[in-house]
Amino acid sequence: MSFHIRRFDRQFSRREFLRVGSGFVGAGLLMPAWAAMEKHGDYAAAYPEELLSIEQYTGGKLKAGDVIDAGNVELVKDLLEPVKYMQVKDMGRRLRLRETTRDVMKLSPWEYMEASFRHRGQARFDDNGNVVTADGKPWIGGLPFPDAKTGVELFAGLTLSWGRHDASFYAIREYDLNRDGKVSYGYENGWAEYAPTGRLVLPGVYWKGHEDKLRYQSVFFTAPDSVRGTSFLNIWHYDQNKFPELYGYIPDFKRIRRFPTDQRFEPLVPGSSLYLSDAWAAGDPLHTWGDYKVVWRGPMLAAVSGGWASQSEDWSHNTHGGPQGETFWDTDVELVPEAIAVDAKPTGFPRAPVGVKRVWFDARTQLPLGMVTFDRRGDLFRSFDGAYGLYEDGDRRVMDGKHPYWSWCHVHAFDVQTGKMTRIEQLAEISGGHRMRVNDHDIYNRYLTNGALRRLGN
Amino acid sequence: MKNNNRLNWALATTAMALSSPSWSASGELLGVDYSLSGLIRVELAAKTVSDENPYNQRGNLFNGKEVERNGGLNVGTLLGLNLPIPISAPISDTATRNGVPADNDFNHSQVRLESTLQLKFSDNWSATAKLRGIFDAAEYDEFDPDSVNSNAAGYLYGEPNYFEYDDFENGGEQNPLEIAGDNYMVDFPSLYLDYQNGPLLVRAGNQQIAWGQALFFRVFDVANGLDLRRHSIFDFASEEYADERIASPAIRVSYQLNSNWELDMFAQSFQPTIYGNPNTPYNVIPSQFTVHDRYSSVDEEVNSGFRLKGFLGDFGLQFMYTNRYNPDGVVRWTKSGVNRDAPGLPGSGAILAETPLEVDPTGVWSAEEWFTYAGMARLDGTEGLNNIVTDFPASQLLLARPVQGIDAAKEELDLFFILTGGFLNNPLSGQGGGGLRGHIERTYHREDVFGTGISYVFSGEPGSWTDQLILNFEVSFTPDKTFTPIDLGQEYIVEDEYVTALVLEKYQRFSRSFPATYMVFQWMHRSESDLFGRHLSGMGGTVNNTPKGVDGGWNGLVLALQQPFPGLVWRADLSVLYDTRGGLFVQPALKWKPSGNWNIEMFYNHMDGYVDGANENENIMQTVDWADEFGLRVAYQF
Repeated sequence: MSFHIRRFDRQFSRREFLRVGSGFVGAGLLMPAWAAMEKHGDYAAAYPEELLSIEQYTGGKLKAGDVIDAGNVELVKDLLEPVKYMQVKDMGRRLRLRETTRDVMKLSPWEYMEASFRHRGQARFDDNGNVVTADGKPWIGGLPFPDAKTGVELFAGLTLSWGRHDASFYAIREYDLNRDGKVSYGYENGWAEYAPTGRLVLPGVYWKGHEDKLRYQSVFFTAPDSVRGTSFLNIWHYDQNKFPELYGYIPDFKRIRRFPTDQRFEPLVPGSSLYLSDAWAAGDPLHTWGDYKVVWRGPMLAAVSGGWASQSEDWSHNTHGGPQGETFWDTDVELVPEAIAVDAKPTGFPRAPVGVKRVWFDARTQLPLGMVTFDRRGDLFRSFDGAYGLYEDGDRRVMDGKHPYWSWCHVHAFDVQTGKMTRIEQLAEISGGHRMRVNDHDIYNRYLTNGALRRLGN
Repeated sequence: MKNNNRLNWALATTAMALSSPSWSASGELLGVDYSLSGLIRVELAAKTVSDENPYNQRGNLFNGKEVERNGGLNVGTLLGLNLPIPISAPISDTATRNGVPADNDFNHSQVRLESTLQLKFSDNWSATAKLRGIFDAAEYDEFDPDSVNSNAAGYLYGEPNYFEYDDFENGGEQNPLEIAGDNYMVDFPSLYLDYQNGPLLVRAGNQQIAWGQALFFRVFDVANGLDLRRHSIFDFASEEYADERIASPAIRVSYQLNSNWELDMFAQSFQPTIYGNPNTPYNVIPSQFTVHDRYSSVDEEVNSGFRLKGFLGDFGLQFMYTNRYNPDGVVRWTKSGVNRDAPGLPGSGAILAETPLEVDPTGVWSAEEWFTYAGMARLDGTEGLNNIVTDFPASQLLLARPVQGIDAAKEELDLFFILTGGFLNNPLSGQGGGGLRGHIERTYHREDVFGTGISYVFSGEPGSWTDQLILNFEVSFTPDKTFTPIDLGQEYIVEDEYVTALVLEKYQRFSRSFPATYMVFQWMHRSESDLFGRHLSGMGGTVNNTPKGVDGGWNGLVLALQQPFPGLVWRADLSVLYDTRGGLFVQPALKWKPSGNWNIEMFYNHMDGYVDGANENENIMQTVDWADEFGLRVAYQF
């Protein structure tokens, strides 16, 4: 018989989170998480054991492989965002537990994490509130503020790089469910992101001639017929006080037209619960939102690994729950030792339906784990949670250069007030032969120019 | 006769199609990625007013109306002398046009099938084929030539033909990628191959090409003509010319020069605008005319152009040049070639064949009708008559002479109508027949169109009216543009024309619970012609006066609103077009997408050509203000 003597009990972490929660001084309880990772190659030194294992956290009541459902969700109520808790308790959602991922390099693209270490301490805000290097140039890649101490620093990193790759093309299928849990609308779309600055893989940190841009991003629809060929191109300025330029190809018009871009709280297609503003929980320029405030810290259950449906040829995910058994993606979650919740207000959108959004960041990687929004009355409005993962499972893998591809895998967007759910998932390919691509310069030419929009139209 | 059988067939076909929702397909075959999708749609437009299309035989304003014809043989005119007092031998009768008035319930009743196949052969090569099939259930009071004893020459001047249009004699199609019959058409609005390599995109094949920011107002949008055979321009306004813009074989090359500038070039086989055929619901050419389309003389011609578009600082700029045959074409008198004697005038047919005239009851019956329709068509009835006389000397064998003034013209015209209406067979009856058709030829002319445009996005206080307000200004200049002569003479009007459009666009959120309202305001100014391309010197003609013309160019204002409802399942639209000379078009519309497969659109078209005491025949809406209707489109997509 052996005894394991824990250095810190569960009450310790609660006390510590409460103690530092109102005066945020960076990630980590026992020591700064990023310092621990640099020093020990592991963030474990920053946290007590109970925050590194769900089994320890629950005193053995739950362990990896167990399923959280309405019968046991109370055991982990404190670890779930309020909407996710409600979905498990009342809507038949289930979450399968997995071990906490200890290798931080598996929680984001390898190059991104490596650059975050390499460039640590070199970022600052300039007079306009934009992230720059010490000598005032656009950011050079990776997390700008790994040891973020404020809400705006966390959001700055997220806004600078959404997918954490220099270039990404996601093949996406969307399912829009009505309140009866039936799929009413379905769409296939492609989503492209391309970084002209802060590049880590593509040649040159800055793409010559494009240094004043932060991002090229487009979305286009390939199905169904009513929206096929519809596409929008957003060109983001590096200056985060400016709205992106928005171009659209509407098949009816047979040409590309420029559109106003400040209305970002409407779905792009009928039946959807996704807004442009929702993208990566930071879909708008950084300073079109304001009053960033850290409001909570603590452990959390989140789907930061294992989201890839490797068993499926096209990467499609299985569903469960809800009235028809298809409201929720099958999701694996693990204990994240420290999450940081930040509130922000849409200061640049006086008539936005959202009053406040709250985003939970993984303190280790600053990945957004979930988001809820509140309407102007302060009532819960919408909820988002995604699943990430390495695209590697045994001998099956999708490579991104020298390392397995890391990306998001699926997302729930739930309208709390109407009961409508939008589910999206990343697939290997959508109709029209558009396949997932990563860190490929050709993504720009194929999906992010006026000519590209015209070609994608019909 | 209303064709209920055809409607039933169409509805049955539709119902069968709807029971097979598994047509959607995508995947890979022989290494080629493919996706196939499409829709089937029933389209109806129900009339909400009793007015009929006056340009059709059964809507002719003079059907069943007794008209006095006061002809006279003017001695001075006959001898070519300017006599101090008019001396003429009066000949009068009355005539009642024998057309059978229509009482239509519908303006539009079609079923549409569209299917798009996209193929991707490799990263660089792909292809698109879009098939469009239309069946017109012809739920209309159709024109029956036998009912009026018509034997008018020309393929399109008997029973209505809804889709064939190529040739005066033979019907058929002008587009090599189209098959048409009298109530169906099948074509490929898209059939092209794409090659993309880096910043280069080459698209070769049948395609539409559209430029410019202005919607509906075509300043830069000059590459293609319009196909107005289906719902003319009265379908769902927010689709602009999606269904009308004519695709034709082309090579288009786009090159992204850098992040700011793009060069776009095309060379395209010339395809003219297709107007609604005679006696079809939205026909706008008076059906007393017979049109000889001369497209065959230019059907191997090529239009070409380029556009350079980019940014200079905060300003968007575009420059355009197009060398094209104007797809609208122009018309003038031409010999009828129809040797048909007028009743009681043996041998007159051979003479008439050398003039633009043809004896047939579907023609014009009286001077009153002549001048009424001349005004409606923006033509000069007096000079039109004179040009028949002077440009076609054979007409003088029938004692026709050039006249001075509208009264003399009426006298001579009525004499013609009386004599060719069977007067000599029964000179004492006092009741005459008619009429005379006018033959015109449609010709096409090359022109250069130069254009430039500027755009700017205003930034104001968040949520204010000036924040994210997009301004666009576009201008085109066409030197020596050819217009239809308002006298239909052999000399065309050739003048320089400027066309400008100012466009303001804005999203404005009025409430937190509703998505933003999308608003577009546009102002178009045309220096020489109206929106339909008719020269402004032809404006203002009536039964009592020849056109006075209008000064100041043509001005049109557009206000378009789109208000999505939460979730975008419903959307309310409002489109307003105001011709500043008193013409108004209003289309409120509702778009409903109840599920992924279904789309339902409802709209009401209201046209008023006489807003605020507008003068007759001076605005564009007077041409179509009979067409108030309720439109419904129900689509199932697969």
